[in-house]
Formats: sequence, C-alpha cells, structure tokens
Amino acid sequence: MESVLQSLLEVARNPAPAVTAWKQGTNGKVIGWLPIYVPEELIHAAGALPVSLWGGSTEIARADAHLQGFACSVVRSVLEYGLKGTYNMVDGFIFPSTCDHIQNTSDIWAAVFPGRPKFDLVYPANRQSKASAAYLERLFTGLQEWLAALTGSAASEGRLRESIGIYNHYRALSAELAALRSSRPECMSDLEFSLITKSALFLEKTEYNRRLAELLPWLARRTVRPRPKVRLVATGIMAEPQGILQVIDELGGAVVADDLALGARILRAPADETLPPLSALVDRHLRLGPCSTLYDCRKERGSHLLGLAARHNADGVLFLSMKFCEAEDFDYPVLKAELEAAGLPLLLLEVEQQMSALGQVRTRLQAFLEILAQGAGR
Amino acid sequence: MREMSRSANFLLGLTMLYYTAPRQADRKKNPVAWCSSIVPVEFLRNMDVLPLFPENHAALIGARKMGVELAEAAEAIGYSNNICSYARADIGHILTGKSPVDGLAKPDFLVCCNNICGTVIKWYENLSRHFQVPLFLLDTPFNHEREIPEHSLQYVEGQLREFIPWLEGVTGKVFDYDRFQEIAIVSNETSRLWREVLTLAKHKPAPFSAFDTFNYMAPIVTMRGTPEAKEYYRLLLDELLQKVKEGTAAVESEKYRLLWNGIPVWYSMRPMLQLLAKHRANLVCSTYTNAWVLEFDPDNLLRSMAKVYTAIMINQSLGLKLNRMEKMLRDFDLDGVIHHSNRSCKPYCFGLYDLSRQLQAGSHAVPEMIFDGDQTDPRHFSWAQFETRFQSFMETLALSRTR
Repeated sequence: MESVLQSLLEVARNPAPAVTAWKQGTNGKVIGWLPIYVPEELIHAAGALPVSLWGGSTEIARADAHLQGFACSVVRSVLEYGLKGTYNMVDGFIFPSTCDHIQNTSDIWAAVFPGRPKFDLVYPANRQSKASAAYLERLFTGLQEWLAALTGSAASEGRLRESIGIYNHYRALSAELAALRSSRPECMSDLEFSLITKSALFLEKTEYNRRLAELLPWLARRTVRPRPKVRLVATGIMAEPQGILQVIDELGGAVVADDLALGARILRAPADETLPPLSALVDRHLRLGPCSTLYDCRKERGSHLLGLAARHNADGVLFLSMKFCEAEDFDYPVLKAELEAAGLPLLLLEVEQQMSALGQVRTRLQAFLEILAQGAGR
Repeated sequence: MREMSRSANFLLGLTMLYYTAPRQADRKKNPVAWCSSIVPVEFLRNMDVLPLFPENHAALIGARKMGVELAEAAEAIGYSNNICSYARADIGHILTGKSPVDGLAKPDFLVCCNNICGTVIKWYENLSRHFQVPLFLLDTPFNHEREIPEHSLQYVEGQLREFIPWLEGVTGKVFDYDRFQEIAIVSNETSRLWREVLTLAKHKPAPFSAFDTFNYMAPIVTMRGTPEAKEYYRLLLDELLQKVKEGTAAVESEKYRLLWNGIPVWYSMRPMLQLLAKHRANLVCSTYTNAWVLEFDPDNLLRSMAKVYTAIMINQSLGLKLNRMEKMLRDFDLDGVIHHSNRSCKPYCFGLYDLSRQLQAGSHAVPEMIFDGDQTDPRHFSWAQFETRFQSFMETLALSRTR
C-alpha cells in the first residue's frame, strides 16, 4: 500500500510523466485549466483528461516580458511553464474569469500562443440574478461544443451523467480523507495530505478514486507522527510552497481542516444527480462558496471558518495569503476583525510559490504555535 | 492670476453641489448611493438618488497628496499595500474622516458594476459589510471575442430589468419609465457633448491637453444624466471652440502629439505637464477620459445600455484595446504613446507589454514609453524613472521625426 501512496505523491511532485502516459495509452486529448472552478465533468465526459494548472515553484524569467512583477505567482508561473514548453502535451486551455489576473493573462496567452486552442469561461459574477442560470447553461454548452470540436466527438447525456457520478464519488472519497486527518492527524503528514489532494488534479478520476479507496483503510491504521500539540485550520489559495507544511509538522502542529482553493473549496458541493446533467453542473456552480473569488456581500467566509474551527476542534487559523491576490487581500481585514471578536487566533503569512527561504515563516509560525499550544494544553 | 472662465466657475459650483447635496439631503426624498465609476447612473437619477463615486473622491485625495496618509490608515487595519490605492484611500477616509472635501456622505445603498475591474466587487462587499447597507451588483462579463456575445447581453439586460424593482425596494419609490427615457436622452446628449469636447483635440495645435480633460471629466463621471452636467459641457464646448478659432495652443509651438494610456498619476500632474511642455510635447488625448463616452439607442434603451456598459475598453480583449488605440493614433494624428503601468489597476496594465508589441508590429507603429506608477500612492512611483524614460522617449521621437 505504501507504493500506492508513493505513486500519488510522485504524480503531485512531477505530473508530466503521468499525463504523458495517459495520453499515450488512450490517444486522448489533454485539457489544462486554470484556477479555481471548472466543471471537469464536461471534459471527462468528452473523453479528455482534465489537468489543473496552479503554477509552481519555477523561477520566473521568460514570463517577465509579458506580465508585471505584481501579478500573482500563479499566473506568472503558468505563463513561464507555457513559455518553457512544460505544457507541450496539453491540447487545449481553459481560462475561467476567476480574477483580473487570470482574465487578463488569458489575453496575453492568446497573444503569445495564437494557434493554441483556448476557451474563456467567463462566469456570471452575479449568481443571484434570474438570468444567471440561463447564461451559465449557455456558457457550459459553449464549452461542450469547444470540447467536441477538439476531441472530435460530442459527449452524450449518458456519458455526462456517468462522469458526474464519478466526480461525486471523487468528492465523497476526498471528504473521507479530510475527515481522517481531523480524527487521526497522526496517520499522515500535512504534506502527504496536500500531495494526495494535488495528485487528483492530474489523474483520470476513476483511476484516482480506485487508488484513494484502496489507500483510505490502510491510512486509517497508519501512524507516522505523534498526536499534534496544535490543531490548525488553513485558509487561502493554496498551501505552497510546500515547505510551509513541513515547518508546521516539525513544530508539532497539524492542519486538521482547510478552506484552501486548492483543497476544500474545489471539492465542495456535490452535483445533484436527480437533475438533468447539464443543469446539475449549472446548479452546482450557483451553490459554490464561500470563496474570496465568488461574490458574497454577506461575507460568509468568516462564519464558515469559525464553524470549521469549532467542528474540528482547532486552536487557530492560518491565513496563507497568496501575494498579490486581491480577492484574498480584501477578505483578510474582515476575517481578522471577525475572528478576533470571536476569540479565534489568526496568523497571516504572505506566500509566493517562488519563495525559497522560509526562515521568517518558521519564526512566525513557531511564535504562533507556542502561544496556541499554551492555550490548547495538549 | 488669470480670470476664471465661465465654465471653470460653473464646474466649481457643480463640484460643490455634488459633495454638499448628499450631506443635506432628506434621505427619504433623495437617498444616497455609493457607486463604482461607470454604473448605469440613469436608473438612479430617475429615482432622485444622489450618487457618490468613491473612485472620483480617491482621485481627488491623490491630487491633494493625501494618498499616502489615507492608504496607511487602511493598511493599519490589515489592508495589503498591494491592493488598489483608490480602495485604500477610500477606506482610509472612512476610518479617519479625513478628506480634501469633508468626506463623502454615508450611503443608503451601494451599486457596483465590474466593467472596470473585479476589484470593485471585493471593495463593495466590504463597504456593504461596513455600512450594513444593501448592494446591487451589475455583472458585465469580460469580452474576449471580437463582438460581445449575445448571451452576455441577455444576461446583462436581465440584471438591468431586475435593478428596477430592487431600486423600488430600497428607495420606496415607483420607477417612472417615461422620465427614465428623458433622463437617458439627457445623459446621451451630455456624452455627445463630452465626445465633441475630446474631439477638439484633433486641431493642430490642440487647444487643451489631456491633463485639462482630467479636470473637465468630473461631471461626466459624477453628474451624468443631469441638466447641469449637460449645461457644463455646452459651456465648455463653446469656450474651447473659441480657443480653436483663435488658434490658442495648450502647449506653445506644439511639436509632439501624444496619447496617454492609463489612469492619471494624480499627485504628479503638474510636474508632468511642465516636463512635457519643456519638450513642446502635448498629451492630446487619453484612453481614460474616453471611457465615459456612453451613447445609447433611446428606442432600445435597456439592450443598448447593456451593450454600452459592457463595452468599456478595459472590459474587452487586447485585440479590441489595440484597435481602439490605433484609431486614436490615426484620428488625432499622434506621434507617440505613454503607457502607465499602474500597480493599482490590474485590468488596465496586465497585457500592456504585448499590446505594445502588437502596436509596433502593426500599421500604426509609433514610439512608446512605459513607466511604473500608481494612480494615488506615490510610494509606487519614481519621478526619476519617469523622467529618464521620458528623456529617451523624446530622443526616439526626435529621431523618428528626422527620418
């Protein structure tokens, strides 16, 4: 079983071989998509492999000729990988309208790679209008048409229904994995959890589900670390660079629940299988949240975090602030005030994927965890 | 000191009225709404709502050099220095009460349209939370295509239809469709006059500079749809036509005619103007001021409003931005472009490098300069960098002349 785990960790660390192997094995198309929300079910039903592109730790060199340094590290590194040829096995790209950074990078992408197929998923930012569902349905139909043209075959309703089932199963298994790290955090490290979650972004989901289902009972009995002294909730875009998770681990802390975009946020809200398949995906998108990138004038993220901390018996919240992410930056002062008022400690750590020195992060985490450990008395 | 022109006097009065009326208003008769900079204000005017524009106020904060102080007040409660400086200036003003004009009267509700950026959505979420007032979001999907897709227009029009009962709910008034039509016509005529004002810069020498238009623009932003704003632009147009007739030049012996692409550097207008004039260069026009030329089809009002409010330049693809810029270069017979790589305004400046590359590859290649700056926060602007780049830009321009 150790080998199953290792295979997933390896996919997360170096996805290219797995994606290339899938492509060679199936002769299918690979569709890359940018964060945060893309209905992978449509890609899966079209017989293509969806892979999710969240950037990485690559050094930025070529991308600087196209994007200013105050663009976030996700779009800068995605562009860098594109220019380096890392995405050469990717046949088409989907750019959702997540934020100004991604939206504008889409146009830069079109200028840099004029021939490469690209689809812009311009979501309705207003999800409360009566006109939103019709707009979204047209948008998803457009995506289906684009996929059909790219793969050479249109997905039937039956295929889509099947894919929705597979993805709901994927979410259910992911929820089991998340429950496990809260009930028995000693069974896996934070880094392992994060890498398992990330490996799903590059694997066909039937295959991923099979491996994860095998893994879960084994993980449940496994012990790799002592019971944590401090239990944390992590929020933000992603827990990268991954060294941060190792630091938490070394300091005797554990992330027992998260509200990360590359994490719990994309795994929320199963599609309603009683609805016609396309409507189910429309309905799911309209229910997603809370998320800094989804309009919410009630700002429910604060109460969501308080709820998470209470349910998972957490001692504090770690706000992993992706540098230059305006959506997250605007949420922070509101969350800070709300969590302070509720007496839940919060630590802000500004992160960039290209960060290499973690000394300062370690110092701040250490101080935070020490305070929390006194309070927790574990 | 030169005597103030009639239009300048009128503008002063309008500005006073704009800031003071909401403070003195009976909120039952005239509720106050805070709005992002390009919202369909015609709906609000029809309900006798007094709109206020935090972005416009933030520009003034910048121009009066209060940007750093107010930004720091926002940063002190956790706002990142990396977010839009208009937002930080506005939030700083809410927290401290400081302002060049005694501040903005508190809102009864908020109206936000994302045709300028996604930032305003987050900013207005927080305003709604802070003031505990309702917020209407008008979502105008970004257009990556050559034409705005039909389903986008239907969706925007659908939201505009919903805006009416929403406004009736928050104001307790009935929406009068006939009056709405009349207001839209006034708004149209004001936009037309504004376009005619801007077009006068085609004359050689240009009778004014884009720096002047950054002052002229206040009523088209804040008072569109009122007879007063229309009257202002009628007065201004007459005066400017007179200048053209007399051959008055904004810059003595105008030699270089330039396009400004971006939001102004509000706290550095005067030194820039002086530097340019020294080189006999004039900023003849800008992509910025053109954003408020909003003309509707009165026979198909909601649909055409949906289109016009979605088709804001920075809400559309790089290709359309380039087309618009090339048209300005042609129409105004321009010699070069100054691009503001503005740390605050992501939609305006992400893509600038490729826009510039495409401009150079196209049929209207002219010398360009790109400088790093910020609209309100001087901590992100270096005069030395601006000056150095401007000098070499001038050398390139001079060379291109001799060729």
